Formats: sequence, C-alpha cells, structure tokens
Amino acid sequence: MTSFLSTLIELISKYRVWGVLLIFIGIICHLLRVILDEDRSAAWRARIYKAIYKIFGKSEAEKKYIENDISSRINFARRNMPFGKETLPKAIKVEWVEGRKGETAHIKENEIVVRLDPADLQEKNIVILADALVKQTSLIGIRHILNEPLELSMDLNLVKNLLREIGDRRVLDWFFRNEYQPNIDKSNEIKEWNGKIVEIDERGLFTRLLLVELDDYSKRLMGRSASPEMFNEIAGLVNFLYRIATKAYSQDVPLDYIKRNIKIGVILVGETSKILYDGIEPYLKAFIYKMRQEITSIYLIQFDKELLGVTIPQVYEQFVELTERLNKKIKERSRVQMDFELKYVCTDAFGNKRKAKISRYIPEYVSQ
Amino acid sequence: MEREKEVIRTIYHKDVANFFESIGLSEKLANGEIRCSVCGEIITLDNFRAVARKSENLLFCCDKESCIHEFTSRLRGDKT
Repeated sequence: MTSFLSTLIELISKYRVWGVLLIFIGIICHLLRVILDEDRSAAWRARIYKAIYKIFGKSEAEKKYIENDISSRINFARRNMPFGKETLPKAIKVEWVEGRKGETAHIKENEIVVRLDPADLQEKNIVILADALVKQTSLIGIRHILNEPLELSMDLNLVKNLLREIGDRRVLDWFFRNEYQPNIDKSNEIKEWNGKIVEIDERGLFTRLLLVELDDYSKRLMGRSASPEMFNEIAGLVNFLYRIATKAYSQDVPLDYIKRNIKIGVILVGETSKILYDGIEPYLKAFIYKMRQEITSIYLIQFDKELLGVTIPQVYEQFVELTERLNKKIKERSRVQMDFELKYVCTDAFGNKRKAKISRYIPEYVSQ
Repeated sequence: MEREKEVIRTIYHKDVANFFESIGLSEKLANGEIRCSVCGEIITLDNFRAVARKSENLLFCCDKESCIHEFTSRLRGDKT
C-alpha cells in the first residue's frame, strides 16, 4: 500500500498535470472493470451495504449485504473450478421471498426456500447456499442412480472445493466442523467413499475427469430408470480412478475402463525417466490401442517432477518438450478431437506438489 | 454476455413471521402443528430453516445441520 502511494506521489511530482491525468484514467479503467464485472460490482456493493448496516443498523442494508456478499464470493469461487471446458457449478443468484402481508409467497414444486441467518453469521449463510447450489446444479440426471454414501461424498467434496476457492478460513472451519466431519462420521461406507473421492480430487481428477464423465453418462442415459448395473458402472468408475490416484511408483493398474455405458481410457505420463529414455512411441502405441477398443474418451494425464525442474533444468525442458510433442503427434496420427486441456497443480500420494496437465480426446467415431 | 444462473430463494430472518402469514400457516405455526419433515421436531419462528413443495405438499425443515442436509438430499434425488 505504501509503495503504491509512493508511486502515485512520484507520478504526480514527476509529470505534474500528466501524472494526475494518468491516475484519473487509471481510476476510470478500474471503475469500468468493476462495473462490467458482475461479481466485482457485487463485492463492492456488499462492502458499501455492510458499512451502512453497521452504522445505521437498517434491515434493508443487511439484506443487500447478505445477498451481494454471498453472490460475489460464491460466483468468484466457481470461476476457478474447472469442469472440462466449463466452470462448475452454475452462478448463484440470491432472491428474497418478501412475504409481505396480504401477499402469497408462492413456492414451486421441488423448490427449496431457505431462511438465512443474520449478517453476523454470514459464514453459515455461505455454507448453506453453497450446499444448496451444489445439490441443485451438479450430478444432474444421475442422483437417482447413486446410493446415499457416494452421492453425499461427491456433494461434500464439491462444496469443500467451492468453499476452499472462497479463501475464507472462517467459512471453511464452519463447514468442516458442522457439515463435513459430522456427515463423514455417519457410517463406514460414507468414510470409505469419501476417502476415495478425496484421493481422486487430490490428483485433480474429480472435477476434471470423474464429473465430466458422469455428466456425459447422464446425457447418454437420459430418461432411463435407474438399475443396479448403472450404479455398479459409476461405482466401478470411482474405484478405477481411485486405483490410478493411489498408484505407487512402477505399480501396474488398469488404465482402461470398459463397460456397457462407460468406455474410457487413461494414459499416464508420470514417470519422467520412462518418457526420457523410451521417447513418446510407447505412449502413441497405447493411444492407438485404446482407439481400437472403441473407447469414447481418452485422457492423457501428465505429472511433472518439479524436483527435476529445480535440479536438472535441461532434462526438465526435455521432458516438457517431449510431452508437447506427444500431444502434437496424437493429433497428427489419430482421428481425434481434443475436447479440453487443463493445467493444474496437485499433490501426489507422498504429499509432494506436482504440476499436472490433463487432456481429453474424443475419437471421431464417437461423434459420427 | 448473460450467464446461466441458479436462483435460490431465501427468507430474511426478520421476515419469517410474515412469510408464514403469507402462506396461511401462521396459526398452525403458533399452535405447534408444523413439524420438521426429517426429525419431527416442532417448527418455531426461531428454529425454522427451510421449506419445499413436494407433490403439492409443503415440507418444512428445522435448523439442525443434519436435518437440512438430509432435507435437500431427499428432494434432489429420488432413490430407487
């Protein structure tokens, strides 16, 4: 803040009128950015209404503060949550049910109307609405297939991710104490499913792979009633990804998951030495093999070894160059479309931070 | 560009009494005739957390954390 102020003073003292003009243009640009960005302007409105509420204690100001603060924080957070090419879940809009005397507060079929707490308990309000948002906008079309422990585990981890992005420890603390832990402790089955989802999430494969496939699955099976086969297919997919997520060094785990309604393949580029010594050919062969099995989506997941980047920069550069060439050759040699490519940072099974990249390829025969 | 939004309707904590009056249930609320559809506890102005409509019926939920979680889950997915 001090350095920012000193820069402003320096600008004015050095360039006089031009300096003032430059600062003025800067302020205008910042204001335009705030006005044009719905979430930024909501955050500013929240600050203003909070101040009015604190000074005058007006109920209208409290309502406006609660509404704008929740919208801006949750919507900002969801922008950073990847879901394939999109963000997850949908943006939230808080609307008050007025319920004035003589008016009928109409409640639609299947709609949930929630009472919010006073502004002093805003962390609780945020958790309640994040939870409602996740339940209303995610796992659409497959909730009736899932059993409660698996559904609950996925919901809790989605809410956790959303709240983590908000970056307010009070909100997270409230959630862990009152929602996450009590629900996990309900049964061993929930504990088990949650443990698997957490591992998958820590490798970055929950929102970037599992939920993407489940979304596709729900579209494919739209209008069909739930069956044990469907649940087993989804549960099997979670177990398949869990084995990949917890794979030990040089341990062999299945990399294809082929069932009646889900056919996915995974190529892991995790052992840096393997690609450095053998080159990209083995990976290209694996890709072609998966195409022959008529798999509907193929994921190429690459994990860097950051340590390598620090100790032997040349070798690390070679690794990056090889992985880029691998992506290029896949596109050249196979009739596939790249659906998305996402770079992210995750933790490996030993708790080390790893840079990662996930690319989803859809063979052309799927869209034909 | 207009983005897709999920509207979640909420009740201000000071408007709970008006809300019950507007749906014509303030008398039932005062008489303790409304119960939490999850735990069965009597709903009051202080412990009311949520309301939903399912198959034409209004269902209520108290403010226990375990209840609100189950309440929303039940409404979102009809299990087989």
